[in-house]
Amino acid sequence: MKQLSYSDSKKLLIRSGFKIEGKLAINEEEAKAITVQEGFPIAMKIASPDIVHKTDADCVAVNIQKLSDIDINFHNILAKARKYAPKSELEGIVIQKMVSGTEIIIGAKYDPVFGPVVMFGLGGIFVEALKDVSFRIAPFDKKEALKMIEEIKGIKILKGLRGKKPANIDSLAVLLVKVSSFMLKNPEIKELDFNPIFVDDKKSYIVDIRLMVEDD
Amino acid sequence: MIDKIFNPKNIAVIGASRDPRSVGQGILKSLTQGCVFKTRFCMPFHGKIFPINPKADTILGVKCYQSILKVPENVDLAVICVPARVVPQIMKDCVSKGVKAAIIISAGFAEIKGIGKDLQDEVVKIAKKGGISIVGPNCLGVIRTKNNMNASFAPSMPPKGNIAFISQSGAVADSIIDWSIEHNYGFSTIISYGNRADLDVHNFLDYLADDPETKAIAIYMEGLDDGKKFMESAKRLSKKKPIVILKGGKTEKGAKAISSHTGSLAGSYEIYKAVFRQCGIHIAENIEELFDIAKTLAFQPPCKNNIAIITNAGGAGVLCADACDDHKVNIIDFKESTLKRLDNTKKMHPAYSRHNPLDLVGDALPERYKAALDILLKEKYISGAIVIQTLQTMTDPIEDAKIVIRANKRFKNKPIVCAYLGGKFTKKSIELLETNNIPQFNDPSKAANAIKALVERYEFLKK
Repeated sequence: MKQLSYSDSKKLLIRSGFKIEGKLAINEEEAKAITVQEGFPIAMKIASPDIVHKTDADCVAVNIQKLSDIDINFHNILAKARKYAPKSELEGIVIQKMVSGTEIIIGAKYDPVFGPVVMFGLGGIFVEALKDVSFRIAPFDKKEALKMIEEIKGIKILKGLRGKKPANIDSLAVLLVKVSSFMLKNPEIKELDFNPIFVDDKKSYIVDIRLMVEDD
Repeated sequence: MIDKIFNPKNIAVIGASRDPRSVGQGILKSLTQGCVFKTRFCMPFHGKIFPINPKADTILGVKCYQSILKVPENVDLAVICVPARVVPQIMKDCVSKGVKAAIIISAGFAEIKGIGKDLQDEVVKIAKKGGISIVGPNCLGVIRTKNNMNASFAPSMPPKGNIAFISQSGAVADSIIDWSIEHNYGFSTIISYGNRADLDVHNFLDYLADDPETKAIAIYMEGLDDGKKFMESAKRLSKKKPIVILKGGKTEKGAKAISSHTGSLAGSYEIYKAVFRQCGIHIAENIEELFDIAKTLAFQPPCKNNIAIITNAGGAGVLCADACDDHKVNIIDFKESTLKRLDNTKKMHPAYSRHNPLDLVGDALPERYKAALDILLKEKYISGAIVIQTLQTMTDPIEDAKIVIRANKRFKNKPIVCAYLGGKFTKKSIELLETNNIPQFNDPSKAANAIKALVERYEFLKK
């Protein structure tokens, strides 16, 4: 399997009604222009179909507070990318305003027996160490999506612990239903990762995307 | 025609044999006598049996024919146990004869890939063209208790009842039959479906949806081919009748380095569990649970999550309450008015626990159980009960069982599940409960698990 390019992935997802945070910059000028549009703090990440785990490749820079830091980070990320994967196709660098909230992962995978399977979970260590996730087979409706969300052990975190406001769970349910339809309508997409999504009390933000297709 | 699998007027056994240790004779015996290992549940098949063997005139006293084409009457169902390489020709004969259905017991087909797979495809092609529905190949067979049809080489016939069991493993089905005889657990149908070259799980689910003999369906499966068809049939059926599944088989490992998070987390068993949840199917973790829950769901009504525990043993009550907590079963607080009603019966022990679980104290006689059940099940806010009994010198298990049975009939919309703990001296009372379809367990935690299934079914049907 191989990863679709950032540009192709974003295009397909936007056409299907998803809103993806950030914009692709192919040079320092674009990077600075996008920064001004987005506002601080800024995160910068490599965009390349050949680099799947960006943090492993050390190609992510976060918490950039000043315009004057954009150039150096742009240069460094590209250099690290070239070192990590010398033959990779580098599309550019994604510039996005950092968001806060509860980290979520939504994914989907094409199963040969059942078709697309959608996954929901809290991100970070919750999925990495605790595997606190739930699954449903596409298609399903919002009611089922809400049930799926309620199934995870960490549900209390979403509902607001220790004085924190509850997350907009509804927006997550809507996203899950959209992902289930998207996978059915685009059978060439074998795997999908929205990781991370950040959700606060108002809405959800899709901060990183990954679409996989079959190697031909 | 799938109906001819379950309701044939007559059956041909192709491969019937004079060798007493062969499959061919085992099946013939199963059909003509009910079973090889005889019990009171064994009765011969109520229609005609035609053994087919080119080298015998009679087998087990039944007239034998050299070919199915020589049988002078119509044949609805053919049970085939000849070697695999011969089956295509046999199938052609069956088509010519106008047979409507076939159970192919023989192994040596797709389960060995290569030639086996080709043979299987050939047989299916011939059968489909000729309008014959096939169970198998490579299966134990089919048992239909209503018409005393044991078209299998299972050791014996299970008691008649209302649970259907569909199994991907013939061996699991076999051991269940022996167990069911010991415990008087009744089945409507047992299907070992083998390689499912033609009829698959979803076909059986569709059939059982309209089968008046079947109240609940238990399934043992390892894997599916057509997940979508299964989900459609299962969703449709589970709205009408409860389904319980035990899934066997290893989880696939193998997260590729390039794969996404989802790719590595969505293991096979996790996906199947999601499928079952979405279809309203209950998931069992082991064989015992599979049949415990099937019976519970078949005969007790689903209920809201407000349960009362009635016990004559404080300790057992505590264990049950703990288990209920684990299973998220709500042991609802009794209202003051309920306690007053209990007091007014004048039947309670002065030191009875004035809360849920209701501890009737160790010297509880049947009339105290009756008073408690009548009061609690009458309350609108109590939706079901777990009744625990332990044996003391004055305990009357038979009478206690009768009280539960009567209460279950009186309060038709509220389930009762029992945990009559004991063994030798409670045996008769337990048999009485089981004959009257009250789920009974030898451990309070199993009773809690059973009530949980009823609560979950209520939630599912509510949608």
